[in-house]
Amino acid sequence: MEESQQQIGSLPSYWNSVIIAGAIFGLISAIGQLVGGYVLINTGEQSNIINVGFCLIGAFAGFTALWHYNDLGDFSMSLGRGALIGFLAGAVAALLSMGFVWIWKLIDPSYEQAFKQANIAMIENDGSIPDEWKQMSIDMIHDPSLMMTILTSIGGIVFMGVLNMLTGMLGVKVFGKKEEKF
Amino acid sequence: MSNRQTNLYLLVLVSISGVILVGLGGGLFNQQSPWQIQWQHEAFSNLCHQNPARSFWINGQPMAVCSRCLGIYAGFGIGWLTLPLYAIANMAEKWNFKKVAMAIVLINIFDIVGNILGFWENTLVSRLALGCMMGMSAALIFSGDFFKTIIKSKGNHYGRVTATDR
Repeated sequence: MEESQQQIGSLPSYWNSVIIAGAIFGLISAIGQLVGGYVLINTGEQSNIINVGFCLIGAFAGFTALWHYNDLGDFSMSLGRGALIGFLAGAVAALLSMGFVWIWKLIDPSYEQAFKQANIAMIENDGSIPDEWKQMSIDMIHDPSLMMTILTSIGGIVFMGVLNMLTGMLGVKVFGKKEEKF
Repeated sequence: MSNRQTNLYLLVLVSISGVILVGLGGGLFNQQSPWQIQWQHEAFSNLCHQNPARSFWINGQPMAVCSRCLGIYAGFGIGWLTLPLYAIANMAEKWNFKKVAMAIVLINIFDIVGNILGFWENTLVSRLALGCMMGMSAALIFSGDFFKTIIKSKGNHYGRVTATDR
């Protein structure tokens, strides 16, 4: 018992792994959004190759964080700890992704307006959307409500965290040396 | 059969159920707002390409995730729910689910690359099926971690109790 408590007490901090993996996957996710945005601006269509290439890639922040964390020393990891590290890595990736896109909008101020116009044009040309919905969507793109922006940001962070919680647990199974028994 | 780490098992079960429910999009609840601005779509915008042409539709609205992502989440949910059954059958001792999962991931990559290069055209259903296999195989990696089977020996070792453990 004492030995296991000592082992738990000597576990290294996971924040480095969380921040490194979160930053990498936040950047990848932001690049995916921006490249997809520029393709939409320049062609008027979404790019399938870019879309498919970046699909679900954001869920691997937790897996990568566990890979990095496991290299910090020779210790055992529980699935619960893997889930926590994964969740935090996903949440950090979602936050940083928003931050990177926001910074890019400062670097290229014309991007946001051009992206809005391209989105509106795409919606107007989409025959599958009813006319009243088209107008609602266009109004929302022109003037997004603060509450909606906050709620969707929180939703994005939570879902990114949850999926990375699962990949974090997978990371324990793949990279972990030996699990603690409960 | 006894259960270990019950809280974590239930947390993942509730989480994946929530992910599937939200992933089905606003059409499931017949939401009367354009799907582009529904919170379900926004919640998955960092995780899935959400191309309507590559998603299933409910009530005239595309789901919040593409068909392959839906398959992955649904497959993981099914696999997670059936973990106790795999413990009863003691599958963790008989199968190496990590290798199975790796093989299915490679099949999915092969399918994506073949489709992009134009060798074949995958469909909504084929992507759903391959995604489902991937999600399920990922969940089964945890077989043996949350449930263990108590085996009571018969014959010469009558009375000896063995617990499956990894």
